[in-house]
Amino acid sequence: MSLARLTEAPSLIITRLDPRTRIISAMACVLAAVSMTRTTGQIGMVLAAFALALLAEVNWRDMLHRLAHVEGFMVVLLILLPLTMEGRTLIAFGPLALSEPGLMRALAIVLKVNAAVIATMALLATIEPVRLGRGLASLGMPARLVHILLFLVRYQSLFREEGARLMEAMRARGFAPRLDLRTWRAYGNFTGMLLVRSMERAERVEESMRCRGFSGKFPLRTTRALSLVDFAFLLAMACALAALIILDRFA
Amino acid sequence: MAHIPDGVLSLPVLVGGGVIAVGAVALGLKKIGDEDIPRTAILASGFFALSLFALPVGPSSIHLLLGGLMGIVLGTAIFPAVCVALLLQAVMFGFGGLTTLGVNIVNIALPGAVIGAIVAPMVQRATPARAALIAGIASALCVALTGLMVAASLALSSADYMLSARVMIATYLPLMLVEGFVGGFCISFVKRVKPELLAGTA
Repeated sequence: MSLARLTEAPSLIITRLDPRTRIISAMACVLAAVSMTRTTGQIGMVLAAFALALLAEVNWRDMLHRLAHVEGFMVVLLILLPLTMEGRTLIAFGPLALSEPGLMRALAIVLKVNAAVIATMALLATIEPVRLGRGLASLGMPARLVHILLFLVRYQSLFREEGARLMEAMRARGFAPRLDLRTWRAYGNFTGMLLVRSMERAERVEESMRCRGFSGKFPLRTTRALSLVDFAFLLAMACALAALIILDRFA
Repeated sequence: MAHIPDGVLSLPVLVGGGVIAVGAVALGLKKIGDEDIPRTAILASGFFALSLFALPVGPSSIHLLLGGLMGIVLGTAIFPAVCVALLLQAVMFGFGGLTTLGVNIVNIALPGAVIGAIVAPMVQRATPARAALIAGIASALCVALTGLMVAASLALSSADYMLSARVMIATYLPLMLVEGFVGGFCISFVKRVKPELLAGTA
């Protein structure tokens, strides 16, 4: 039922925190990471995010997988920036010259992006989606959006399993993807079939919910006060981020 | 590829995307009736699951963006659907980012919403074959527009990203082709099997 592999060990401080604390901290970390202006601050932020990841005992294999994925997005940027930005040439291979400002820029992007990804993963990856929804609701996210989020958490895994079964059935009948129209037709039918099944499921669920008197609302806000641990964590987080920002701007 | 991570875009682009996204999501939520929430949300889950399937294409594989199909089936509810989907992807899988959520919502959902609004009535009335043609063109167009908007998000953030933005547009061309065909065949299938899905009540 959950999206990520959950490693909610109750002994860890991160998992004992209120979802609101985790969401606010993650947002603060990402904002701080993005706004770092110098290499020292950027490296500091990566180290801080790494410390959080240690604290959260993240699954390192998942972490590498995530990092590889973001690096994939940036690869074009990272290759082209050093080659195209004007400035003093550091290294030259024949006609290709890597400029200093270009390299610095690429380095800054790598550090910022990775700090943000690591911090987000450390603070939010193991959060149970339902608690995430509640946390977002008590932070002011519209109730309807939270309802959609909770449905999505529940039904996406169901439809992924359904889709996997459809794919298996296709393969059992000899389907092998190629680069031709027939393959795309098969994918089109697959997509259509999964949509038709979601529609049918939606109708059934809607009917049964109406039977039980659903009128558009679930009880959501079971807000309890933040505990002392939460306040302590938020305070520590605020101090650490403030120190990193001061290091970045004034050191 | 359409998921821009945290740390690449400039502040004005992030704020601009965020403001447009908040407005668009609010509009989309307003148009969903209270009683239609389960239906919309479960359909959105179907699209979300589909977007996670990696379809092998040649030596590589692609993930569908589904902007065109979502626009046709969900209408303006595409905005809350994409918002929630991208939020979950950012939190659970690390695709995309938290600060870039707004920009990513706009880049993926806006083309779908606009093109969906234009072609959905045509798709509803057309024969399966014609509907497939319209939906195929719409799907491909949505991918192209998303690609252009991702490139524009980069180019507006910094003049230094200009060349990368152009290269990035080129990477959308194969996806455009595949998604056009898959979207077309998908609508042809739905038209024959369950045309109510396209009745505009979803």
